[in-house]
Amino acid sequence: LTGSAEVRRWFAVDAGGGSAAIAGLERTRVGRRVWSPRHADTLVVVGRVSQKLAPALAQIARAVPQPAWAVVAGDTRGVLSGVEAVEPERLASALARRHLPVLSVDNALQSEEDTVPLPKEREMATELVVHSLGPIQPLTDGPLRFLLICDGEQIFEARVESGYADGADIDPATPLMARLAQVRAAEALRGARVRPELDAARDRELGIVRAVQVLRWAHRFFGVLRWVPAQEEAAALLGRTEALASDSLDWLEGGSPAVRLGADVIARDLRGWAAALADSRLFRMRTRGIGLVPTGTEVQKRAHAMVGPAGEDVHDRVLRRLAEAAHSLEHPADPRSSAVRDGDEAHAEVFSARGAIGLRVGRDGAARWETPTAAALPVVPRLLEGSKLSDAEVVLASLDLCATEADA
Amino acid sequence: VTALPQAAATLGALALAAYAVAVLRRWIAHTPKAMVAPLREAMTIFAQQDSIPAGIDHFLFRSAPVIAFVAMALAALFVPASAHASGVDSSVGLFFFLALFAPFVVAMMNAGWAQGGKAGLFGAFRAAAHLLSYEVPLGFAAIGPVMAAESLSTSRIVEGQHALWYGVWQPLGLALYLVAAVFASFRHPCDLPQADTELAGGTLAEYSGPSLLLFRVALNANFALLMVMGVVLFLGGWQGPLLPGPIWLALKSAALAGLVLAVARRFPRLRHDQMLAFSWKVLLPASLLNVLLVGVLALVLPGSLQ
Repeated sequence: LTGSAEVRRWFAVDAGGGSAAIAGLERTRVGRRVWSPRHADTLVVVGRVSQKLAPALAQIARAVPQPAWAVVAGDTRGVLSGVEAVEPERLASALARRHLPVLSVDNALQSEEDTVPLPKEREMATELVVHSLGPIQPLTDGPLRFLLICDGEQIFEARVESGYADGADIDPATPLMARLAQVRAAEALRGARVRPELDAARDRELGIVRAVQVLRWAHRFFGVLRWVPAQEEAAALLGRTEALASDSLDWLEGGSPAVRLGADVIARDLRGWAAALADSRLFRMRTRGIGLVPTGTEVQKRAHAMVGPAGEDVHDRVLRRLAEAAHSLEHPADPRSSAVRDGDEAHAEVFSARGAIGLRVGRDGAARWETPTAAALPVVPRLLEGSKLSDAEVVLASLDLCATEADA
Repeated sequence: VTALPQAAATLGALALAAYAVAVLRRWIAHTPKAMVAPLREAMTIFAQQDSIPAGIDHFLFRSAPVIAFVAMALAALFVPASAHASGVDSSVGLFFFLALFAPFVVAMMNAGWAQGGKAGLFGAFRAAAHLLSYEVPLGFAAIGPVMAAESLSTSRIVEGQHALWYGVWQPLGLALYLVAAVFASFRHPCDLPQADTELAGGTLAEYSGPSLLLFRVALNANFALLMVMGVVLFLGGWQGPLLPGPIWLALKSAALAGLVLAVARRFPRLRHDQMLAFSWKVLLPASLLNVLLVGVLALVLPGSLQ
């Protein structure tokens, strides 16, 4: 009875870079995803749990009522005992198994108390409430914590706390981006000459990965909006684009005609969907005028693809990003990426769907990442302040923040 | 002595109706094994530990799902299943029925408040905002059939529709009633008090095991009852050829519930202030207009059609 896959209620913990696997799990419809650990009977953990995240994971694992099971794709740092990790690709079949490892938590880990000093001087003497969102929350890619200081449903002040992801990889879901930046930086440092065709082929592959990134984000965003038809549309397009990405060997060779055609067809459907969204009154009603980038805000150039220019709201942000994904399918070669050497240092830039990932490498081996999420984080509170609590989740989901990028 | 089997029958019918809602929801979403999955899920939830979180208000936390379920069970008594079978055939049955939805909201608020957490607190106040959005339009929409039947008795209202369903000449009232019913039953897209992504379940966040199951049965029963009452008020209730009354009532209710669920599925979740604004700026004036229209039509239409 308890081992029946179709009634499994799972709560997902994305410890960093697990959003792709979790979205895949949602699409295979093995059981049902629930949003409170108390409603779950299975805990799914994807990614490597960091030292800082471990207490939060323990707290969530303790909240799952017994009898409960666990499926882990990654490393829980000993928080969950007696579980064997599976490959992220095999998560769905692992979850569908009749007998799962029993969920048992290491009791030594104590959860930390959140104490936030509240602002004192206020016009009205209403009591403020600190609503802690995360670090494990479904709005971003990986664990990030948001402290929303609310006056009723109105957000008075917002803070972002990062450092919960194990930042070994920039984005484990799309390892290509960071690896290419590393390769280009190393080449520039050594002064190696790369055949232009090869470099162009790499860029072409990035084009399709960018589209996958955007569609994964769209799937999550419409899930947060709880808008079923749009999420289904995103899931269908995502499935097709991922299938195309798995044919990417052809793509690398300069684009086989079949893959090219496939990409063009997906791009056309994507544009059609975006146009339908732009016409949708429901979409406008739920996303217009929220998450506005305040005019005069200094959004770093690196975060532009994610946050957008001043005056952009969630509605325009979603449509712009979908159009960008269609564009990168149609014109996969990206002239923006660069690799330059500057004395003892080399600097390479690769464009992901979120923005430019930069890597600065010195001869001594010192490397410094510059990521779009890290550039966007200082602006995030300004987008949230003054908005309603139920809009905050939509705004946050619209940003495509990636915890592993922030903590790299 | 006769009350006991009747109570058992009402409870059984209520549980069945709640189950039917779960099946319908899965069937519309094309989830595999829609017929048996809710039962198996219910059994797994029931088998789980009923955890008691730290810092809760014990009495309110424990009583909330019971209050919610009892309110719905009492409301079920006022549903006329056929010409002769109604739990309580009161002359003010409809009034009682609608009034019993207020304790349900109170149970939701208690559930959120008792958790002692912020997610629950937000959920509690959103539930209160719900009460403000649905109550007036729901009541005004239900006044149409009352005016036509000149009675608050649910069985009299059904009998009044033997020639023509009220839904046929009061389509606006039916539409308003259904929208308000989605509000009142905390269904998607109006399920903000249980908002999962930002409040991790809101009012229901801390419930698990049998308590969670009872709450979810009560929520489904709430929706089922409002759909059944929609059939009673607007779609001729138990009346229909050949088949016995209760079957007709069940069939019509299932069709209506399926329709509402399928339409509601196409909406994104609404914000509470959007709900309130819609309720007071659109639903309320429209329901007042409906009362006026029904009043005029009741005068103009020949008596045989009413």
